[in-house]
Amino acid sequence: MTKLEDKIKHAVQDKKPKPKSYFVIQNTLREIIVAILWLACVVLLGAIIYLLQYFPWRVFIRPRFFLHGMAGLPWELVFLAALLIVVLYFLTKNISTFYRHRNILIAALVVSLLAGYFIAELSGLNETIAKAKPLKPLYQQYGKFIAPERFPGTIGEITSVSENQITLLDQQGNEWTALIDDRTKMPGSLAVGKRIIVIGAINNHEIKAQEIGEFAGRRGFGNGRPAGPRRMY
Amino acid sequence: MPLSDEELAQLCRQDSKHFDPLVTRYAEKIRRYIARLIGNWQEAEDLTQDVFVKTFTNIASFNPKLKFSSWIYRIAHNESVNFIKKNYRHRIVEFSDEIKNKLVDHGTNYRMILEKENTQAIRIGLAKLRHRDREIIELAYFEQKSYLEIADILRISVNSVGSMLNRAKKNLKKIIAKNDQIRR
Repeated sequence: MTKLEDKIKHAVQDKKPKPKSYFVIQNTLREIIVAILWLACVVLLGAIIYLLQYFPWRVFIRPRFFLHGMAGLPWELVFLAALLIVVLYFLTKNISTFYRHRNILIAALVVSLLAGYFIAELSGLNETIAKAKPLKPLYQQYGKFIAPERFPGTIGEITSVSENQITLLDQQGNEWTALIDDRTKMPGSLAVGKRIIVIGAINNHEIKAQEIGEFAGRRGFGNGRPAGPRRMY
Repeated sequence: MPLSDEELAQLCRQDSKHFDPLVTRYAEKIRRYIARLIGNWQEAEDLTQDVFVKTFTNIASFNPKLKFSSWIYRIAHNESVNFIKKNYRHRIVEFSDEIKNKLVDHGTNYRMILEKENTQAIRIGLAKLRHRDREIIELAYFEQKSYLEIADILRISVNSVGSMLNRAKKNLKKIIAKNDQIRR
């Protein structure tokens, strides 16, 4: 026996192996955290996709609205989702199948998240979560109920049309007056009841309209039911 | 027929006497491996002791589907990385003569390379390599580990092992060429 072996055996003599249950509990806790994070990612993905569906992409057509458009995208949700995915990646990358074949891990994450998103939408889980009392304020700001102030334009239903102004009612029931002049870019026809988006500087419920466009957002979502308890415009 | 490492590791959970053959089989290998990574024989001995204590206390977490050698090398890798981080070594790790002799004595593939190249140049080149590059060359040529075992030890993908090894060899070649130019 070498000196080193002797030293090691001597050092190990007083030690006791940790029980199997210690590692079982540790692994179970990790799996629970992974499951919670995964579910949070699925819900976030649902909220992001929902917001993007309603996003007035036409603002990007005109370069001067580019920054408005970029600012209106749900970056904080995207950032949060990306952060959760990175944490998920690090929590699962020590599993031998995954680190040996990193592509499998990435594909498994993407596929499971997308599958989870569709299941959550079709089963109405996202809808239920959106209506849950503690989460409602969050969703009012970011998710299912879409706050108009997030967007680079004001969205609403036309209540009256005159030569130099349009009145519209937004989703919260607020009335807005869009002031029109020669420079305002407008769609072909504007009629009462039509949903529009008005882009321009806002001053106390008055919008100096630079561009008005028809709003192409859907009224229902996924399972055909209304997106939230409130009337969509 | 002697028991395999994996069988011994499982038996250790019931009786610690089964740990002794594992110590006999791996003590020197692990010490040499750590010494080459950190460049200090004495510290390597202390770290080897720590590696075995950790191996023993965590033996219940060993997954018998994996190779025991990969698992204990993984623990040794972690200990070495922690040591390097804690002591913040310079990139250049000066190998002692003792380590140098052991490096030359061990590993057929490496000896083949040594026969072609200047021993001193490779020694300096290896010492100047980044830790990660040195480690992968170490595992592939000194310890003669397969790509799968290296993937298990370093927790990287099997494909990455090949590309990292190529990169490490290129870097080693560059360093040796650069040193050669300076000498001339």
